[in-house]
Amino acid sequence: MLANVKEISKEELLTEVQELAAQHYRLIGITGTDTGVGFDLLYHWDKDLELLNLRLQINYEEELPSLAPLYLCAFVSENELQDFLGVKVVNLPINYQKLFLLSELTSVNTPLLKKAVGNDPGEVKPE
Amino acid sequence: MIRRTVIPFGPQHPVFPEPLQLRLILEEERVIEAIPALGYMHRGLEQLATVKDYTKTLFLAERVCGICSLMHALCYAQCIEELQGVEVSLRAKYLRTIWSELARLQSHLLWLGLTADAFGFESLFMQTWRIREYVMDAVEFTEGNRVMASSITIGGTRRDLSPEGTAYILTNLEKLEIGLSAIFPVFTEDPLIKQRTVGAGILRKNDALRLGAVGPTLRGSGVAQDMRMLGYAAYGELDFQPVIEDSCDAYARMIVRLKECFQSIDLIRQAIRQLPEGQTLTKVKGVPDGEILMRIEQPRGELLYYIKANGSKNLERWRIHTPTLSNLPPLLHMLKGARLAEVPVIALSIDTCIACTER
Repeated sequence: MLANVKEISKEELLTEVQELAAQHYRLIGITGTDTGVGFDLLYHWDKDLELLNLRLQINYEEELPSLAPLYLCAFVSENELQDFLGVKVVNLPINYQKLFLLSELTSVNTPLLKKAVGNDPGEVKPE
Repeated sequence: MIRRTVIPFGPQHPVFPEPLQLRLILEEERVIEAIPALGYMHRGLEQLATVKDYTKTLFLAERVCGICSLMHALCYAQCIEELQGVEVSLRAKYLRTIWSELARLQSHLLWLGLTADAFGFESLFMQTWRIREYVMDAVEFTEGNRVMASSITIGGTRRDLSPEGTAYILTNLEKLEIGLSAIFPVFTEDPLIKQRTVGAGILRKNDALRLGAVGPTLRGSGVAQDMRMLGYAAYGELDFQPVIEDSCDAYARMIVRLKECFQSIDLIRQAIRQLPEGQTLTKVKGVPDGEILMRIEQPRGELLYYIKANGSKNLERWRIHTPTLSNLPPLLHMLKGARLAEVPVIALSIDTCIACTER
């Protein structure tokens, strides 16, 4: 179902990305999912229409290094990770402090974080 | 020392149909830095999908964006079909291709009209939107609605194309081609338009790849990449080569879209010629389980969906990465060093869609 997935550790992330940058890979985006015990992060890359995914898992409290110094376009997805999941991204050059897409005028905070870790995503109940 | 000025460009600005703010830091007339401010219309659709039945999420997908409504439905349907192992009929694949190209045509023509309006070229704006109506009429006649057509569903299509519908599309494409041929030289040769676009918003090939550009923005920088080359729907059965231009400026991006209009007409004609007989809908049973990544080519570029399903009727994760999200960093790069007067044309040249971006 999900092809070309390479599992890596957080420590390997920047080295892997440097290698991909040297091979002129294009960063498409980053997907974060709350697994209930931490975050599952998928970095999507493309080269000549071939998709490559780097997968790493971190705990809720772990800090994630920003890829933006290598790939400026990463700031978009990394700010979304902060907004929607509360992932702590460090060295992020354009940091909206969890207000990239969310507004300070609403009470919504990290809406994709599961209730198990103390977040209330709202009143909507599953159908 | 040169004094710096910060100008808020938007969120309400004549060149933006939707709210987006660019905070422009200027030294005299030159942009030193541009910082985007979003969040004016975030609707939390990704979160809503985790509490909605996955069949209803198809309607959410259609409502991510009005202009690319059909493309979102197509991407979502393809994800669920792949997860559930559903084989869509060849006829349905061709219908999806025909309607996708009609959607691309109306989106490109909408953009071309807005661009002409931004130049103050109102007669060109009116002519572009006049011929766009041929496409909108064909969409309405064959899909039943002009915007939220809901013609694509999980397992195929909700509607079939009748012989009258096919004839109507072909007649309207003929009229459209005549109209497009008339406005094409105006867009490409008019001194006013060339003055505003040639050399504006330069994005070199390497920068385009490094900054993650997609769609006409990437192809206007000489990169032959288009998700239709992956062969999804019936694209694998059609003769298709991506349109590229290599002058890397706003002019190149405009030319790519203009040529893609002619290309879409050609693709629809090819698809209608080869349209096979058969059913348009395959029955789908059960609930999805597993992970899937899907990419398709929206009018603005690559659309990526990631879906994680857990065997229940609610999705565990639905991630939408839209073309404007990808083209935002290249836009910031293009704006550096631009004159303030060039900002509207450069910002328009990526064809922003904020509804898609904020979803």
